[in-house]
Amino acid sequence: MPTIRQLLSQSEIIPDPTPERLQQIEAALKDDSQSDMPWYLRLIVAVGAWFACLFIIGSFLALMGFHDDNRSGYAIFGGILLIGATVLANARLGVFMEQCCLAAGLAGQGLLYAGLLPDHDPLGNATLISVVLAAALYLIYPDFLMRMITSLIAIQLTLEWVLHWRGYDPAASLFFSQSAPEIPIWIPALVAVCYIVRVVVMAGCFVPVIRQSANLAPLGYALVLSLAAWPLLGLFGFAMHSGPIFDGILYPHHYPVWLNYINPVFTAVSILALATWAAGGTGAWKIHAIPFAGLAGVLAVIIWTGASTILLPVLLIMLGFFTQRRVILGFGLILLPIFLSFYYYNLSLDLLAKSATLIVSGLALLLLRSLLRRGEIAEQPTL
Amino acid sequence: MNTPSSPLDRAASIPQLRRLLADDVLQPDEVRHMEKQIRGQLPWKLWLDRGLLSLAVALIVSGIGYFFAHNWTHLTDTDKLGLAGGAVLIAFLGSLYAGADHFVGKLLLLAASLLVGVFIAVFGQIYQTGADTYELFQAWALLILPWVALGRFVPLWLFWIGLLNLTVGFYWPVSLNRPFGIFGVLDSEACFRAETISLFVLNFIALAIREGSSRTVKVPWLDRHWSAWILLAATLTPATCETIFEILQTWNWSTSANPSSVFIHCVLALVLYAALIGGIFAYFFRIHPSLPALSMAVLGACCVLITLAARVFVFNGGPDMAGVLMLMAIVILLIFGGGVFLLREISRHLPSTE
Repeated sequence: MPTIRQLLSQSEIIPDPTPERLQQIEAALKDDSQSDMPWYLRLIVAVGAWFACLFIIGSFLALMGFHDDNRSGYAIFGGILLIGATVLANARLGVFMEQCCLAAGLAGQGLLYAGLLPDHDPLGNATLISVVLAAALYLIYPDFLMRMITSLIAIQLTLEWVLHWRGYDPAASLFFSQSAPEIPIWIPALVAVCYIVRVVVMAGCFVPVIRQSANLAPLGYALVLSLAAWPLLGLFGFAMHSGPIFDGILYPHHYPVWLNYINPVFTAVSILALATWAAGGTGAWKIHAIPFAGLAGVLAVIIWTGASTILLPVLLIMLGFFTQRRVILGFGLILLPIFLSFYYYNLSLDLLAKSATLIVSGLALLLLRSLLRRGEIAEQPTL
Repeated sequence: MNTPSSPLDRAASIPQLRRLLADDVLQPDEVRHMEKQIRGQLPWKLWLDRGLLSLAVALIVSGIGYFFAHNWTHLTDTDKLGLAGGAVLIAFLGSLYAGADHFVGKLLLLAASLLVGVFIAVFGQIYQTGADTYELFQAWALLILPWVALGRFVPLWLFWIGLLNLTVGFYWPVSLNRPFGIFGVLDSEACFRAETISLFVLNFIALAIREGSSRTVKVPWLDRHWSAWILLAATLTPATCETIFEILQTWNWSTSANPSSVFIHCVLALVLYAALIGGIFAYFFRIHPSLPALSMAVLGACCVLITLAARVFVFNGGPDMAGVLMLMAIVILLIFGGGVFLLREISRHLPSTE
């Protein structure tokens, strides 16, 4: 990989960077370099900070007493914790205090929920609180993990609220049977819109080159986790069911078939768009027409065979690879075999037919690989 | 590893460029151009090639597995043993063909060692030998010992150590039913004690062999830093668990059948654990400087000290939970803070770190 000095010297935009400019960049890089503390020391610090913090909070809660009448007290105490954590986090007092503030901040949020949520139908209030907290903390709390966790909570609660809107209960569709209740047609539309919005925003956090990119990264990671959450839950909840399963909702078989293809098709289009962006723009379509056509064909085959659950991990792998986000890349690499295994496991075929399907799939991939090796000379540096 | 002196001369990454953009050190156009150059050099073809190959092999192997699962009940015992044994033989011959000095050959030897376990499982299923679990792992470890000795491959050696750990781990619970076991009939507490101590001794010996071989005899294939860390973790974990166990045993020591024995065990465990931590510090500070190894020792010591503090402050049916929790919080802060402070001071004086 080229160094920053090499990139600067090769840049057509900064043909001759001045020494002052180089010093400015070097100073920023030194500031930016992660704490001089190795990760295992940070881990020990974090463990100690979390334990200490939780014991302190437990001590105050024990003083207050664990009664239902104390709920307003929980909310007040939670608010104080959150404000204190935010103020101290902004003071940037080191790794230990950073972790203490994270623990205290999350505990404070939990106490706020415990104190403010009504007994009846708490989902709407929880969603509102989560969105307000996520927005406020994103602006004033300068910590990656805090931003990511609060964003993830807000996103998931919002999705649950949307799905429960107007009294619809997704649990009834999750355990689908012959006499399942009718699912209103706007539910699949809402699910699709929620999915599309999340994918677009996730890509928007990592792909465009804007000044807020670094600050948007926690939101992007939260969306990555959110996108994977429902399919994972759906896989483990629907182990005995076949048919297109996407985003954790299994639509009745008497509904229009195209409903089940909204998300897969959009994901496939996203993969093509990402490949186009990585290749340098739409101009690459003319230069690499056959590979792009091949990619589109492979994606179409995946959707047609009903293996569309693997498209999300493929999208994450590509996003992580081309934006050099190793966590997203690793997450996608972990999800791919899981989703693929569940796809083959849930096929309504006997063992012999599954065996043949697996072997043919493997041979098809080997054929694809040999075609690619013939078409392009793989002279990449070793990893 | 030589670290470049200037951050400008280290490999650039896209997230790093984005942070510089957020700090207004670089402009969007500059970052866009630099990112394009980085992306142009990413080895996506190699990743795609290896990804397709790995996926294809996994699918084909799974397909073969499903094929045998479909036909398993129709296969004779001879066929089943033949298939399992044949797989071991093919892997081993492949290793010889590829060459034991090459990475592919070593991987095939590892695969053959794993498949020996499959063979033993099939053998046990067919002949219903009635062997205990520990005997299966024991047989597995014995059968692959020549390959481990000749293979000169650290992952294989660590796998073999793992098998020995499993053998020891599964032995002691079974020894409860063996009146003529090494230490006679054992109750559950003595069984736990025997397990942790024997696992500690086993892994400590392995660590000593590893360190001795790489330092004195200079066995290059054993000299992998990460193997020392794994063995140290495997040594510290049972020692820490045993010490914590002895501390927790004293919770009701006054009402136990043999209070003095409980107390003596606890003191002995603490003294020996302190000696172990001291020995680890002495070795990994002076002889084989390693901050990760020292960090593991500190983490283990912190866990034991916190348990000890909890035992001292939390009395049976303690009345003042709030005060106790606050006291524990302060103790945790002191212990972990002290540990990190110690490590930071040590890191400044370490000759060279890993």
